[in-house]
Amino acid sequence: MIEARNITKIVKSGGADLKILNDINLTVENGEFTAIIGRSGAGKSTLLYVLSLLDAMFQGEVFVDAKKISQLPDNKRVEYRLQNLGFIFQEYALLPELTAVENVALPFLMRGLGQKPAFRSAQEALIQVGLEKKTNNLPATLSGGEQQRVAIARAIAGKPKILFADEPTANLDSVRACEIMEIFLRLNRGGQTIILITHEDDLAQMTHRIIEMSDGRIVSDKQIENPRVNLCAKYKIS
Amino acid sequence: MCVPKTQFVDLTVKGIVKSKVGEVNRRIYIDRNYFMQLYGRSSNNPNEIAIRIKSGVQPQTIKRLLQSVAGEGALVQTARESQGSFLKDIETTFSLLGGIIGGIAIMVSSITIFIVIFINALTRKKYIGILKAIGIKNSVIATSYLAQALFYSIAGIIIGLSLLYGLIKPYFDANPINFPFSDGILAVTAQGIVLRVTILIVATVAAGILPILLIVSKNTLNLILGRE
Repeated sequence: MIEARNITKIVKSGGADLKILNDINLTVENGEFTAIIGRSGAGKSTLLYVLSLLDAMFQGEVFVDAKKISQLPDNKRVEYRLQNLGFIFQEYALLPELTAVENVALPFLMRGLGQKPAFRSAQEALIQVGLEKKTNNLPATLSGGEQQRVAIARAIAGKPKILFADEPTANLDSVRACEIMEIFLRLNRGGQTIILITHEDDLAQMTHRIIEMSDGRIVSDKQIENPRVNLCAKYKIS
Repeated sequence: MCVPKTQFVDLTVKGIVKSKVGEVNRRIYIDRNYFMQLYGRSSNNPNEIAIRIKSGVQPQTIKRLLQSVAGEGALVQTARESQGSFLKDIETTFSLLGGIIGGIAIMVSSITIFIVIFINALTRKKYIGILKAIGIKNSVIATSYLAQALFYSIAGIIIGLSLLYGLIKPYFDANPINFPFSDGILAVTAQGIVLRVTILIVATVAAGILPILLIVSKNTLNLILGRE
């Protein structure tokens, strides 16, 4: 479970203080698939950065499984992210010199896993996202959807407690976006907690819960009784 | 040649010593036995003895030994002490110049390494941010850049030593620089090389670690998003 208490983030803009996040309180239970939606500038990504410890400059507290993680020093945050959190960026954020499998294996190697088991686990993660035939491809030789799948494999490889995804489908067409959503749904069925940022309502409807943000505040928080998990069926996802 | 008892003898000149040291040029070198025969001497009572020591033996050790045997009245000097201040001053000047040039070289190489690593890290800020975001520790990132700096440095040392021992030193040994007072060769000592290599490695570590620490210490998000 991840809990945010009284999260406020203020930045200077043109000499004036601008509240990007305004007293956010939020709890996401284990196994939940939550979508955060809102217009551009609503504070969605900023909230995700705060929750995932990528941003340290904020007021308030973040707890994961009742452990306060928001006050950890920088090196401990990095360590905590490595061991407990997975993050997927909109721009994939793969290392261009490394092959798909090497990108995925990197966090394993950093956890102290030997080279063989690290690469074996990376291969398994790539199989999970359907990229078993492109493990040795460099990111530049993969399509946008494939690169995002590598990024997902890297994020889930370490079996994180929470998977954060910052508009992972924003650069993809509908078919590829659905492929990514199918992967998320499958992971969630396996118990993975996922917090997804999106501004595509259709995709948000596939999750259990939709949180809407506007001007740095949560303006609505709805549980979805029947997530539209078959929304992508029309694209015949294999 | 005029010898005692107004006796004239003919001597065959077997060679002329051509040295840039006047003291050496002004002297005549003659076979010891023949000299003693000409002067009618049978005992050794020279006023100056030159001693050639084996390589590795410290001249000061021999000097102390001889001084203790010959007594305080005898003037015992090492070759270097006997050269006078002129050569010593020249040697000091060249050592100073060598030190200054070496210092400048170390400074230039350190600045070069700093710039190379800094530019490299700066252009890869986003990827450093990604590495941090996926949980790679700052120390691991810094170590990888430090290894890169050390690679450049060690490659430079290997190339430099190869050029020195394979080309430059043999060249100057064969073609010494023609100074008015002496022939100039490169005085390369193992001790000097070890000292300079050590200084260069230390300078590399400092010049390599500083720029990467400046980058990795930045906020992860700012690195990824290219802010600042």
